[in-house]
Amino acid sequence: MTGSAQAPAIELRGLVKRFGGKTVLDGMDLTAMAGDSVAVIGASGCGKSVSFKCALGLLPMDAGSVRFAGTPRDELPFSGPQALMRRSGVLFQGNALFDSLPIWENVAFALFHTGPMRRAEAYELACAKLDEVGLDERAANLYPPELSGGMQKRAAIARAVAADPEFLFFDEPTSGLDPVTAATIDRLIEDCVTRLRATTVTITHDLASVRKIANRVAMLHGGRIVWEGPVSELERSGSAHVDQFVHGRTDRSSTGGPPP
Amino acid sequence: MRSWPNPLAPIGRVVLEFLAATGRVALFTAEALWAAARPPYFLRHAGRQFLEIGYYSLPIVGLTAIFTGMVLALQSYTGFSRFAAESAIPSVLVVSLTRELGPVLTALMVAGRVSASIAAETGTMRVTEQLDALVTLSANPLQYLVAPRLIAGVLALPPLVLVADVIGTMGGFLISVGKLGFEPGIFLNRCLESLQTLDVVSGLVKAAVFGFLIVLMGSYHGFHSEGGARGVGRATTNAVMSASALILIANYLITEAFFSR
Repeated sequence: MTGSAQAPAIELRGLVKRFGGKTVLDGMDLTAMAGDSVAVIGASGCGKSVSFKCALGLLPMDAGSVRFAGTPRDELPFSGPQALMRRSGVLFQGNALFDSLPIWENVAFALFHTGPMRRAEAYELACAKLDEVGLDERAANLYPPELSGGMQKRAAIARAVAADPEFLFFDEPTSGLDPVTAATIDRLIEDCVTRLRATTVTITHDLASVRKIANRVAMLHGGRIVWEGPVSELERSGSAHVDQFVHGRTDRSSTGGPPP
Repeated sequence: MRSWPNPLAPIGRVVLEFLAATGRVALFTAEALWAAARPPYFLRHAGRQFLEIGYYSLPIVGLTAIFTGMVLALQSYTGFSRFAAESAIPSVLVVSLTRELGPVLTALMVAGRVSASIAAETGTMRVTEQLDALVTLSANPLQYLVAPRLIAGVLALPPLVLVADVIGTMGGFLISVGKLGFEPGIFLNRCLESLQTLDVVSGLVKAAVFGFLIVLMGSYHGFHSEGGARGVGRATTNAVMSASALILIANYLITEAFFSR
């Protein structure tokens, strides 16, 4: 089946993922229309990162379906311009930069190592992408362990957007960063999303970040999306789980268990 | 009714787990070979790995070989002098080095260095999501990480073993001439007369197979490591242990294939 203009850009239906006897995702549904920036929020360990890995096929799922622009993920080709990974950019929680390669090679990896670009051309493009996230040519020639956490995050963002993807996935982009650096990273993500007009899914538990980079929010709890709506309605969602998350309440009565 | 534990059950569990592990390794091997056979070929990466596995192993391999040759000459003398067969020392030394000790000791030393290093690096990449990142950048981790190393391992071990054979023989030569009173010319002549092409070829075939096993075990355990630093540590240990065990098993099988008639 091919996608139509009205089809959601990213559509997860009934995602189930179990680890041993533990069910982490229990029928998760999520829809992002083209150009949407959706933030998936939820408590630590609720399965946010697992959901995006299942969506991309990095983890096998036990049940459910994933479609990109209306096409089932498994029907997308493995290589060529229509391949899912050629059309996606991913920022991992720990950046996942390759220690053995300089920053510029990390950024240009998909273009240079597995793409058609020549080395010199890839170097120039990587430097341009790094410049967009505020890293100069000196940083381009350093190795990941030689950069600070914030600089590594910038480099990882540059790598995620290097091939101008249609779909962007950010996993906890601001975790472990100080508030100033986190705000800078949020601004960079916002710029990238606006410039590329990519459909973006951001996994986070940072509400300040959500308010800056997302236009829709989905709350994951008990393996399912228990509330979904515009960012502006986050404060008046009517969901006990969202209220608890937004206000940081620790009353035990509203934690765990099935969604209301 | 009370049921008694079946005494055969633990044995069955071990056998089943062994068969399952063998199956997993066989599948991984097939996937890695398939990945190595089709483009893209990461030749620069393979070249770097050739240096890493071959060139940087030279010091430890050389050290092992020279002392092995020296000890072999001393021990042979101790044994052979009881039967007035000291003149056989050069032949025994060179044949046992090229056929067995050169390939096996070189491979065991390289396994300790390279299998551990590959398992630790790949395992760390697994737990820090770098393997996932490779996939999202349209790279097949088997093609990018395993295939170049397999090629490098198979190509790097034979020359390394040749170097070990020569250095080991030199070690034996030094002891035989300096301590045991052999004439240098006679010693070298005996070595050359005793050596047959098959001795060298069998040693080189063993080296190539051992190189394959060393990289395969390092990669397999690294790819399947989980659970953070502890998991990476366990993968490293398992890589060295399994590579060493497989080297000894493969050594017997290849020796059987070459020399059983």
